[in-house]
Amino acid sequence: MENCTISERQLAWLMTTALLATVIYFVPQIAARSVEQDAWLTAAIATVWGIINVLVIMALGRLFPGLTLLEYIPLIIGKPMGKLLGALYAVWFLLIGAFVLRELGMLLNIAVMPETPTAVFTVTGIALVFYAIRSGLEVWTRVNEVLLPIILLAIIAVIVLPVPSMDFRRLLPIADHPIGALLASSFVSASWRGEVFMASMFLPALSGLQRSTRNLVLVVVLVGLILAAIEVAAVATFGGVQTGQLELPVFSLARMINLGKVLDRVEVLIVFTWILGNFVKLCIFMYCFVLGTSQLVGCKQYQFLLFPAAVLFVALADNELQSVAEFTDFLTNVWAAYALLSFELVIPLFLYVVACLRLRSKRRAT
Amino acid sequence: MRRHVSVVLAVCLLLTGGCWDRREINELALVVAVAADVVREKGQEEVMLTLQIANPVALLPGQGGGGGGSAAKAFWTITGKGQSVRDASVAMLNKIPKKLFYGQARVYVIGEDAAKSGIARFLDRPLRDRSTRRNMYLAIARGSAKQVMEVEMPTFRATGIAISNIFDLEGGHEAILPVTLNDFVYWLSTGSTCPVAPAVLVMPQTSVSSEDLKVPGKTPKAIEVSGLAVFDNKQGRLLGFFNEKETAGLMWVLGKVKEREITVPCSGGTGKQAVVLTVVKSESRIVVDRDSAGLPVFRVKIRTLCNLAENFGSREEAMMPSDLQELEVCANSCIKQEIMSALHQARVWKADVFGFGEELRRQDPDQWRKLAASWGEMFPGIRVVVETKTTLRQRGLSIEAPGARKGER
Repeated sequence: MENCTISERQLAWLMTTALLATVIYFVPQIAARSVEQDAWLTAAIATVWGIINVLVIMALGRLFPGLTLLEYIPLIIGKPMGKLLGALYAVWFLLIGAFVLRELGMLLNIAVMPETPTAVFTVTGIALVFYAIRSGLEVWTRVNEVLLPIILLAIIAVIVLPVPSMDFRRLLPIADHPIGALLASSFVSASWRGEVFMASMFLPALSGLQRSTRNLVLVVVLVGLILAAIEVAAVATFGGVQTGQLELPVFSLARMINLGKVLDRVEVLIVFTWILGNFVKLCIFMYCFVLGTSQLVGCKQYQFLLFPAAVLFVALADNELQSVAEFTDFLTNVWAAYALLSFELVIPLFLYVVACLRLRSKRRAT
Repeated sequence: MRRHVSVVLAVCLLLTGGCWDRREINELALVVAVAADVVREKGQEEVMLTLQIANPVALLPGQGGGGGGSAAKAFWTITGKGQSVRDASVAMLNKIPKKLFYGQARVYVIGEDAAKSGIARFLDRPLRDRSTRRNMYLAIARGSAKQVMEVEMPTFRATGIAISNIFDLEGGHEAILPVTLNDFVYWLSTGSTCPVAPAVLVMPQTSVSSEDLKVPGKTPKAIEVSGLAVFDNKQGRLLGFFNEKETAGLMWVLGKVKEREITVPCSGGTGKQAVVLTVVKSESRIVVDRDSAGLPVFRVKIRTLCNLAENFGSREEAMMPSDLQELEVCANSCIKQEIMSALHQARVWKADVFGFGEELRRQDPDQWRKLAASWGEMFPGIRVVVETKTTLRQRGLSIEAPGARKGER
């Protein structure tokens, strides 16, 4: 088990980077494709699901203090079932982590360096992650504290600077889509917000749990605000239909920046955010995967798993999906079911209900 | 040992920076303008792409042009043909000793024939390519776009730069409405608004210096941005051109007037007296109402702020409050006339260039859902009410016209 401790604030910052890092690239496109100018509304609705998610995961954490998600699952639903579900969770960390790695390479390929093989980015990326995680949890959470302000500043610049080319009347009419479409779209958006459930793998490393619920709720709200602001900016600049037709609306938005013919060509800001953000996010997935796997098989150490895990990440990143079209198709149609509606929210909720019932019956028995 | 290895690795990092996507500036051919035409060859339609490539040496001040007789050319043009825009640009690669770089391309000029055949397909390439920008200007050439690229202007040299400068500096003045690719595809994507783009034409240069006259049989040419090309909202086929008055009318409605002059014939004076007003600021708002039959009525509300720029004539009155009010009324009717002329022409083409359909969708989405399918047919019949309100603020540094005397009024 991890001996070092991180503070509650550090965990909140870690989760902010995790939730923000990849959501801003694909979600504006996916949301605008289904509900056009109402994209920002889905980001707002998704915040509600995110808050519920935080409450569930923190309630579970309080029931089993000092244990991670994969440690208390067997305690709730019994060893054989618990180990199976735990394995599924480990696979989830692996698959989605490999996605994040692929995204890192793919975004750089699409936008900046199309001729460079993706493997160059994925291998160097994972090497960095390998090094970070081997140095220990404390180290890379502190790295995140340095990186997050840079990421936030860059994102805010990309939202604010293209204002001269925006026409906010393009957001009208508001809520012109059936509530069903808005909800369905909000599930996709909330699947990124739901990644906050990974906090459950970090709770034992915290020095206390007094403020984490409040912190994480604020994180979810903050990420929701930023995402909504990006979607408002993109729709005001490109129009609802066009936003849905862009591969990377945020990147296109950064390319629209042209202040007084002096400040332009600043899309490198976006490249900053995704290299830095994806690095931290990847660290979180890698950490959850190796920690979870070692706890699953009952090992005290996870370091020995790092190298095979890194190889697996790179191999999967290259082979999970063929093209960017498949990638967005996955995110649009499958991701919500695989994330929010199962592993992120619904299963933890089910676990919580079962845990409560069992505790009550145990109390009655004694 | 570890330290040695890490030092070696760090040095390696320095040496290997950027291997695949490396680009050196001296290996790049900087494209300043792109022009696309459609040509027929052996009965087959082909895309002819013309690139204007800058000669960086000649663009630097104090060099190239200063040398006297044989000044370095500021740019050169090159054409290629192919089945698509990309195909045509690939076709010229074997003629260019450098790598084409579109990152500095400022204007995309499309020829009249290409525009007639549908402009949408010509826009895919610049929007898909990561080196060109969505805020690149779009212009439609009267005639062929290649011609526009080949004009060498006396002081500005490259027409690509000249056109983009006109848009940057004069956009919103007179009848110049700059349109970027982003604006254009936005209009196209609404499904109801008909896109427009400024028209560029080649014309003989009006004042020719004696230097130029020494070259026989070669009158210098210049370019002029004038009017707008109007497109349908399906494939973006060219419907026709707005003249300057109609362009000005559209610009009022779109709220794109930044600074321009309104010349009003003054009512009080004798015959052809002109008073020129400078528009300082202009705002437009479209309010959608329903009439008794439930059909939409569009109220276009234009508010402008003007200053008195010139009193050209013998009118000797002072510009007193009552006179200014009279001028405001004249300006109102002048603006209204311009808008009505644009509206009239748009109705003939059944082209909703004003974005009335989009405005209806924004303000009354239920109504829009009923009318959307037949909007193109309905547009000529819709009711439009123009309400203008002009405020005259300042009269410059003088009050009366020169020569006016007190007491002679």
